[in-house]
Amino acid sequence: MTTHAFKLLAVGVGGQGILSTVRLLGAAGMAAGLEVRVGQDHGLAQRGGSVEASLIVGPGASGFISRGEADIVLALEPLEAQRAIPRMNSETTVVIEPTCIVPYSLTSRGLSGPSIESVVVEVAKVTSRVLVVDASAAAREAGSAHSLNVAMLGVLSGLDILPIPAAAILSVAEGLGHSALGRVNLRAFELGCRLGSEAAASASCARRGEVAGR
Amino acid sequence: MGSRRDLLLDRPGRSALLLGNDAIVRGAIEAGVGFACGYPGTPSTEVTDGFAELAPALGIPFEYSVNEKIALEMAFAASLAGARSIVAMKHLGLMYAGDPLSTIPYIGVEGGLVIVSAGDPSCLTSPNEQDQRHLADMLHVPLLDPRTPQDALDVTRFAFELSERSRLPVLVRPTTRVCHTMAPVRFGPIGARRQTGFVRSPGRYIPMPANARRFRREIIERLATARELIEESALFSCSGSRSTAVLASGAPAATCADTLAELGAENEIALFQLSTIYPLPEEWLLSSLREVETLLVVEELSPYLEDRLRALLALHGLGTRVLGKRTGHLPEQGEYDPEVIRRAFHEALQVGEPPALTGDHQPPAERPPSLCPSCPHRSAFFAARTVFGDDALYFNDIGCYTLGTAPPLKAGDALLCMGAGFTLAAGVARMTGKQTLGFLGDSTFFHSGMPALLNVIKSDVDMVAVIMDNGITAMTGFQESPAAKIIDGRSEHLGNIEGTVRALGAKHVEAVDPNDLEAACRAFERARDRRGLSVIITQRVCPVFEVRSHLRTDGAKPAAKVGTFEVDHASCGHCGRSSHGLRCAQSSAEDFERQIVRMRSLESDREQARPAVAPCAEKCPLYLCVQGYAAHIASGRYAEALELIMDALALPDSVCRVCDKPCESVCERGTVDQPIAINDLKKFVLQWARECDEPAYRPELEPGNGKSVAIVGAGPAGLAAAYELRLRGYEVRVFDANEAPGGMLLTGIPAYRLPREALQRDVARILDHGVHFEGGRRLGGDLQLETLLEEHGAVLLAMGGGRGVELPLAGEGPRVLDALDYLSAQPDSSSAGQGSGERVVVIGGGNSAIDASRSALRRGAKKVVIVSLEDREHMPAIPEEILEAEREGVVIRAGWKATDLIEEGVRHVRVQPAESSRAVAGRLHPDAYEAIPGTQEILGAELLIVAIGQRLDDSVLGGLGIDLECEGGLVRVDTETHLTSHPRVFAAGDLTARDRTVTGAIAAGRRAAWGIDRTLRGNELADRRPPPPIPPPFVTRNENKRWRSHQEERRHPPELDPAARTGSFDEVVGTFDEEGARAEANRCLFCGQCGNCRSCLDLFGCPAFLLDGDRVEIDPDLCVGCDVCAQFCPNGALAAAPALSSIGSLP
Repeated sequence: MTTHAFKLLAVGVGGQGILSTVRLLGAAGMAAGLEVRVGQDHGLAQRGGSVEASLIVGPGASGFISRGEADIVLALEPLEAQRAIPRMNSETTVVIEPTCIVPYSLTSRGLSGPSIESVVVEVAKVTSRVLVVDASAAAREAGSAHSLNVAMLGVLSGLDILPIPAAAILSVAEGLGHSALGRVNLRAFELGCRLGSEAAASASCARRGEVAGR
Repeated sequence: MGSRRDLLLDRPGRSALLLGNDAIVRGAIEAGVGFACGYPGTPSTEVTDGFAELAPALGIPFEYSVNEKIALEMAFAASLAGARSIVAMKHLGLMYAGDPLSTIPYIGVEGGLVIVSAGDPSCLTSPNEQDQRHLADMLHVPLLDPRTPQDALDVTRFAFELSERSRLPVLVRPTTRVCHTMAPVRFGPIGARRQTGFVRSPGRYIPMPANARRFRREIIERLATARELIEESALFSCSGSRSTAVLASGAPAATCADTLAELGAENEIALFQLSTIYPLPEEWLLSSLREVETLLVVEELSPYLEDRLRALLALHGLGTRVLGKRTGHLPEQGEYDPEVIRRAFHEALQVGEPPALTGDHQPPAERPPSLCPSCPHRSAFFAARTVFGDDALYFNDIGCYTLGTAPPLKAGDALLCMGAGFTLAAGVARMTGKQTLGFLGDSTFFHSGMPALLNVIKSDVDMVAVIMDNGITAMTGFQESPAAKIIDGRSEHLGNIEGTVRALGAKHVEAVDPNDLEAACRAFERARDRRGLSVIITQRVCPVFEVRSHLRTDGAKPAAKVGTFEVDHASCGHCGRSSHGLRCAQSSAEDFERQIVRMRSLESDREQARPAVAPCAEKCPLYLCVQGYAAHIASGRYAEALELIMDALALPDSVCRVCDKPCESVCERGTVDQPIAINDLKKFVLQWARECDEPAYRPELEPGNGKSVAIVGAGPAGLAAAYELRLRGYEVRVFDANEAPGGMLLTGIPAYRLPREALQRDVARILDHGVHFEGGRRLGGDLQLETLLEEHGAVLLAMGGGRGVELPLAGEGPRVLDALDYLSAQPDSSSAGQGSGERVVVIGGGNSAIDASRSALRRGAKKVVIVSLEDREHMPAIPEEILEAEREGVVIRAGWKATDLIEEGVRHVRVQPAESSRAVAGRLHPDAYEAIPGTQEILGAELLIVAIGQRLDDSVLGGLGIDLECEGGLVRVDTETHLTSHPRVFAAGDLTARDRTVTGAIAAGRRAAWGIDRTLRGNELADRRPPPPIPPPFVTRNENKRWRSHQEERRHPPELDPAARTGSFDEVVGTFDEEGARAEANRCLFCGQCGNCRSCLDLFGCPAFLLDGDRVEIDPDLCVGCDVCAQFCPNGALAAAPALSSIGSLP
């Protein structure tokens, strides 16, 4: 029997909440009775470095996503989306937040990061399923730019492309809604969800690699 | 998601998504652990953090021990006291604990002792990826290697049992992949805690040699017990017996299982999974492997299992073919991701496809981690680098501050391990004699820096030890250290390092707030200037921890941000000279910036406004960037200093000797002590350039533009204009009545001030660019202006004034000579009427009078007296020159007026400014003085030299053949272009009513060249660079005290002994040596702005700074308003954004 676990790779920059996003998805998966694993690469990450975390759903034991293995790449930052290209394959769905956080190695030399368009072009060389969603706008609308990760989670949930039932994600997300910050998070999740379902509604949009939500 | 506490103490049977490290904690809890400790280190940190959180609920003691050695000893002691104990650390820490680790197996444990030591293949967060498994058989310590989080729980729980029954400590060695993977973990029952207490048993725990030999034999039995337990355990499995098999351990075992499943090969290839490394379940292996023909061994790092399996199989005569690293199928380094394993399966076992290569992918820009905005470590490194520059060597250590090794701080010439920062600095200092600094943090200091420091103190090494105390072990996620106690998430910063360091015996110890840059720099300066060990403790609590813990030591709730700073673009990127269009072409350089930053951080009072243009530049006729070349000299960048000088100055060798130095009279340093020796610095750079093998300065020469200019007069104005025009591509012909070029520099300035070779260098430099010189040509004689105008596009008249002003003195007596005539006579013609053996009186108070008097001494005069109308303070001559004349023996009668000649000499009378003139500032007209009755005296003299100024000789203008508009007897010129009333005739120098100094004449020549270029080529094609602006008539120095500098005496270059001078015309003033020049340049306060400075980016490197085009900006999202950058910005261009209130300093 050939098995293939579902593999989601979340990438971003230290401080964006990549780990907690993926842990939250993992908890939702557990709650839904699925076999899940969450892998994380950190260490110096909170000092502004690249961060990645993986969510694997399905039978198995390892927590790795190696080259060409990601089913979904969730990129909270476009440069990091570009860095994750080797992990994509022609079937990978890539969801990108368009706001570039330009590394200091570039800003200090007066260089800018890549445009979101150029990142999409690069990603599209591997997969046509590229979706750019302005989740940071949703997060700001919800009340805090720091809720970007939760808004992105909402987008994923709205897109309904995860093996984890949206209801499970929602119920975990609702668990966030107790404090003031939690209410902002919940709102960001809902707004992201709406962006995701709108994008899903025009399902072919994602296939054609068009830019949505901008 | 509930709290970790609720989760890890939850009921048996529950499945939860658990981090491998948390699973280890749960495993230990299930085993009834009674004591936990450790030292934080990624990837093991969550184990200790877990116990830190859970220990109170469990009711067991926990500690972050001072270091791993002590942690292991504590855990062993707990075991001796009969409790099950666990100690956690990363692989590097285990090496530090090697001493106790190697003896514990001899003594044996009582309560089970489990050592968790996380491995880090691929060096994800470590300086090496050592394979600790080799320690197991070396030290007789069973070692278990969990594959997954569930396995981590099971293995840990079992490890206590194994330890207790074998009486050996047990190593649990998860790798990063297991530590940091979350997977469903099923909880078992929580076992009861037992503690027998310490039972005194004489000799039992004392590994004296005789005992140790007996203990060694006991180890054999213990290992046998361990082996039995392992054979009976669930630490291995096999998915079936086939001819082809994979044997894997640790994290790769899980990946192998998944990969075989993905390939659908789980039935054709057997998978042996091992969670134990030592001892191996040899019986099981031998029986299970009997039918295996080909075995691929998959383990990360060294071929540990592979080699042991080979030996085991050979010993028992099994013919299994073993594949792995020794056969080249797997690498010996790095973590095994699924791709590595797929490739090995394909190549070794011919299953599956080779991993597909994805297309060429250009990786995007790297995103290395950096110190956070407002990090006090950055300030500390910045201060150290500002003071010690690039000459010192910097040794770093393990912690957040390791990030200080990266540009732009670059505070890391070497890095080894915890505590080695001090030792490396000490060792290199002792062997090289260089200045060294060692850096480490508070937790590291107590961990292993303390004995390192003691070692330095003991050997009295000349170095600086810096302890960066941020009150928390920040790198690993904010654990407490001996410098800080965390109670209920609130940290109490103990500030106990200073006392500790003093108690260790260090004599020079200072604690500073690194974010107070002045204080920090001063501390580093004192450390630099002192022999022996200096210890600097930079104290400021990690601001990120303060925010995270929501608590500050003073109880106030900290804000993540105290404000945002912004860049004032009116100041940033502009120097004061650039507001005149004089921006230099130099790019910024770090050592230069370090120099100007140091002055800004240390010397200036931030409350006081600063001049945009340094007054020295504003007062200089050439607008030379003095602070620029001073900072270059101070930082040893002489070529750049030379460039700044020579871009604006055609005759530097002359000017650096004869300039009247208006710059020094307004130098800001004069408000502190004395002005900088500006001209001597210039002279040093010229001397340096002369000693270079290659020409150190090459100006840009434009291609010929086909136009030509005639210049009449080869004095400073004419030569400067010739040079400028030649560089712009003009054909230039210079004519002079003298045979040799130089004008007044040659004939009016004596050689002891301006040696002829120095002048010759200037002249040669100009002529070598292709300027044609014709000597012996006098306008009105064989040279006609009309002809010149026919042959050239423009003519510049720069032939000087020519005649001294006569002094009508009644009576007859000594011979009377004009100073110019006297000075221009060849010095070797001293015999005939030059004053040899005579008494000489010089009338006048200016430079010519001084030159004439000092020349007279050199020509053998018996006595020389200067009679000056002006009193001593108001004499127009250069003050140093007056002083030197006196030192050589010239008598100065200032405030006297010669009245008439008599046979034995000259009569003179004391004068004072007339009543009506006393309030007038500046120089008075000779008529403004009145004689004081009854003060007349006689000066004996045979020669009288008159040096009371010059006037334009009528014959000069008469010889032109055209009428030029004049004013006050001098040619009137346009102030911008130096154009006369004739459309193609320009004039500069003493012919005009402009600045009459040598430097002024050069500036005038430059300006005239600019005017000529504009006129001949038109505004579009002409050189776009503006000429030097005309200095404002009065620069008033701000006498407000705004400098915090210590007094530091002006340095003087060497000079001839006054007694030895008068025998010759040898140059009196020498040149600074390099050390003197750098030290003197270092006195410059750099009071003006600099347009090239990017210190914030080039030296400080706070990630909040960015470059937008060529503008420096601050990202308001990243800036937290710590205010440190504003303390050093040389242009004062950084300030709190106005919307925000003022920034208070943090405690």
